[in-house]
Amino acid sequence: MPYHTAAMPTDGSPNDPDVVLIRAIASGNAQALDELYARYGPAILSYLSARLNDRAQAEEVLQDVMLAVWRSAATFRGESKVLTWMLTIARNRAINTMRKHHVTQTPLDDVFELQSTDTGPQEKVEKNYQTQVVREALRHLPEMQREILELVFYHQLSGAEVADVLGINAGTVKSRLHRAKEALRRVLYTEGGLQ
Amino acid sequence: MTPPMPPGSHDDRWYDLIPFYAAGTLPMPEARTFEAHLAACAECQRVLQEWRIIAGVVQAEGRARGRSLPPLSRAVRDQVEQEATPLKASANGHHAAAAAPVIRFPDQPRPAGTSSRASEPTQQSMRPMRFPVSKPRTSQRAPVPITLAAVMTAVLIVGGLLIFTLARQPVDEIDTASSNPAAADAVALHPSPTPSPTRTRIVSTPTNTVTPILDLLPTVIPLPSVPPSGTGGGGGVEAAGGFVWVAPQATPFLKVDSATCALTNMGTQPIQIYQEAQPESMITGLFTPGAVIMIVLVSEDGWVRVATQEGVHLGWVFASGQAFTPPCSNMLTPTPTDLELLPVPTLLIPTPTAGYGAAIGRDTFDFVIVSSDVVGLPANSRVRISSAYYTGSEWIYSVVARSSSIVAEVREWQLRWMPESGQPITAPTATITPDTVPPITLTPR
Repeated sequence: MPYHTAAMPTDGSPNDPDVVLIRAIASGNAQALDELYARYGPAILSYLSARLNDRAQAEEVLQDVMLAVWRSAATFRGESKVLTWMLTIARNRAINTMRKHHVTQTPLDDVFELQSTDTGPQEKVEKNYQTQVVREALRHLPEMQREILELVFYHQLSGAEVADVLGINAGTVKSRLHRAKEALRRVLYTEGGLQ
Repeated sequence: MTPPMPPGSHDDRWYDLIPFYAAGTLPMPEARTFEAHLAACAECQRVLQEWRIIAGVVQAEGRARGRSLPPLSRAVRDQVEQEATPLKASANGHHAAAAAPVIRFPDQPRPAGTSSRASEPTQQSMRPMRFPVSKPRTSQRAPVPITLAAVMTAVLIVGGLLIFTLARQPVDEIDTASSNPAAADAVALHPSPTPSPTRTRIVSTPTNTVTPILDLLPTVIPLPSVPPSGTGGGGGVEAAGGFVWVAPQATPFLKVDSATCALTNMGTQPIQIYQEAQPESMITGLFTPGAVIMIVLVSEDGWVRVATQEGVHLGWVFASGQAFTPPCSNMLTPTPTDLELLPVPTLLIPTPTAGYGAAIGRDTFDFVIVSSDVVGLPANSRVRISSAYYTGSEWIYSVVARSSSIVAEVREWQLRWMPESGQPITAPTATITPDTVPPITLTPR
């Protein structure tokens, strides 16, 4: 699991700790907002950074998202996971920001160059040639396909949840995944050493 | 999402499932069906391998982008502070009293047992005006300025407290600091300008809203709440439907159904499945909470060879201390070659069990300390674990200092159980010890 709390199932049920937090926020508990921010801030920041290609702007929009969560927690009906709901808010904010600032969807390499000083296991993985090849290929994917890969693999959303966040149908989710895979597969076999 | 497909036949529709299987989000019934198909389908194994490579890169990039989370901004905090009081009042049913003038008519009854003043701000008093309003209106405007004055006074008092607390509260708080919610707010208003890459100065105070971990385990009842004296001891407890091992040094929350020889993970943490019966061997899979797998073989030293319910070999699970009774104690009398029956398919994403998983989400500081200095947290500071994530090879824990003003990310080796408390989920009974596990003899057929 990339970032979900291992011991806390997030199924949208009333006992879901995330839903408990949202209810607390709706009743005016500011500490619960801190807890939610600690839990999902990194995920939302990651999503926004990828969409906006601008870390500072992503951090700014993240603050807007948290304020929106604070103000609209009472409207959360529990029909989706809290993460899905927050991602939907973040996506709408990101789109508004892009419109306002005319952000272009060109990948930025320095996002990861900034993180490459990490001496942890991730660095070891990133040094792997195959990984580098795939990472490079990912940057050249259309934004729509990259976004869907992130929602599936990093945010670990189901097909239906991805469709909800993006406002598309499940069939489109599958076809975008398939197209992304085909593009990456070609690279994996031609340059990544996959047999 | 997916129509039923016979496991044995290849169908292009399997392709739609594979990315979600690789992501670990495929619902269990579909995952089981797919695994049964996967074991015999080279094409799906190839596609799965490709997706896993892609998944690994996407996850690594996602994590990299989410690092160094800034604190909630001053503007957001100000807004939250401003709006928190009315929200709370509204939640308590007093919002109407603070926001609206009181309108009462002579013919409206007061609620029984309330004084004239106390009963004024009720929902009943805020009905639309259906009666002549000449007389009461003159006296109804008084509460507005009174309320405004009260709010302003409250703001001044809270502001004064914040400033006072900020002046007194050290930024780097340690174990002995008091748990003061106001202190957390004070620190949040003046965040560190340059948060370090490994430590994010966000305020995350413990709240009573976090569900204790045991509440998430309705099937594990009743679990004793009193930890045993000392650490390292063993013991188990009878639970509905089987025996649940909860000893600190044993595999937690395994249930054996001796009628079917099924092994259930009753806990909330996944358990590693190893390629061989060796702790240093490759992790091939994940025995997820609530999942049921079949016991194929029990070794003398606490390892259990497991398979899916369809008979697909998965690997080995360490279940030291778990009692196995016939026929599950020795289901096979394998020859040495039987131990190498099939190549182990890489069916599941390796995700080792979080060593401190039992403490995640627990709203206490009684169990875990940092064993070495972490930025802002001296060694031996008490912490609670708010969350954890897996990097691909290790668990990173987000811990909160007792004073609630420091959140840090630490590696597993930087944590330690409190010496006097042992691990949080333990049992006082010791009805079965590892010595009573029936020995198994691997004899040639």
